[in-house]
Amino acid sequence: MAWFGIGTGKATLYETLVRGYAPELYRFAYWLCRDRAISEDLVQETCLRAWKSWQNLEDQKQAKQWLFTILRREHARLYERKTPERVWIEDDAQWEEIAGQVDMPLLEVREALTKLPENYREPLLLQVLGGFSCREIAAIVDATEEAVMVRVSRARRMMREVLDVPVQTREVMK
Amino acid sequence: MNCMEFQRELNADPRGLSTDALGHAETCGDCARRMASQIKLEAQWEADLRIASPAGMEERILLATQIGRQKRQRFYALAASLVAGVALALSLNVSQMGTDTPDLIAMAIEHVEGEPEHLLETRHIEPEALNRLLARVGAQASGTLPVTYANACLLPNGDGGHIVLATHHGRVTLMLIPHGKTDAMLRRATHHSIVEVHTARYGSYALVAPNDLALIEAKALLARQLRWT
Repeated sequence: MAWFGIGTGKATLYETLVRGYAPELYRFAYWLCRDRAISEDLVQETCLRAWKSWQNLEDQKQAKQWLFTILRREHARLYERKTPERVWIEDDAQWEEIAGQVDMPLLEVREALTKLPENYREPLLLQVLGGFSCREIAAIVDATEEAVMVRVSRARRMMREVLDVPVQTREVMK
Repeated sequence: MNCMEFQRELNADPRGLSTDALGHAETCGDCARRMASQIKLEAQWEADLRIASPAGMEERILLATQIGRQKRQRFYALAASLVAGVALALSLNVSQMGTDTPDLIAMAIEHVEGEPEHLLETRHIEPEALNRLLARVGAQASGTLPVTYANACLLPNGDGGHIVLATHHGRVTLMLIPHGKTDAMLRRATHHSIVEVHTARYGSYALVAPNDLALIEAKALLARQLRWT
């Protein structure tokens, strides 16, 4: 236990959680707000709030879900306060310039994701990046499991449409 | 389970299929292919959305938590000592206690630890703006200082200035304390930093450095580049 000097159980677990989940939290935050600096702030604020409200963590096995719930609230709180300036790539020429430098399929997936409405994008990100089940996502976003199943299913269908992947896939993808 | 139910479950959570769904896929070639296709697509999406987190982010989070914890501990320690002091004064029937002299070192440390983000920022500071700030303690920069942050700030004893200097051995905070006078140089080393408070033309200034080498370099910079009005 290096950073607190004293190896308390709480401090050890906290450090483990920060080191283990901060990168995942960052990715989730980034695809919510598309801003690296804000994403890091969100992750830091999430972890600080987790430390301060440690008594609310009833089951350590739920720690990851708990952290994602806090981050989501922090993100919502951020947008209650202000809407940060975002840079959206609208210009075709700019897209072409970027596309020439990086892998196009990768850009297509990212672009497809940004086209999803937020209430579809969020549960899909939680599942694809966070690895959560529909039931866990329902707890995080405070919705019913059925509502989450509908949202992620529609999100997948929209992604496939944008990416031009057959919706009723009958053939194996090459 | 029929193919439609399988498809619904597959769309909702391809990597969390129930045993019923997996059993169906074993007996239905079309659904098995759909499953393979979707799982491959999911893996591709996950890889495409996997962006690297900033280097050192976890350390910064742990440091920020530690600073907050230490500040709370200091607050509790201060509160406890105040209670003890009041109790002692009452028991001795002492009407006056303490001193009006502020602890300039503690003030500087408290301020720097309360705003750790300024140690990470890199801003362009106009020389005129820097000199306006330095004028608070009666100084002017006669040359270029490696300033990464500079702004006015409020200290417990009045207005001050918060400047960060980049040295080859780490960033050093220069706190301008126009309303805090010291007759002699003060120095204290803590677990995280070395602090020195020096007399200025008006009030004093403090240097909060991560190590001795950074402190020495910062002092040499100030000695070369500052002139006192």
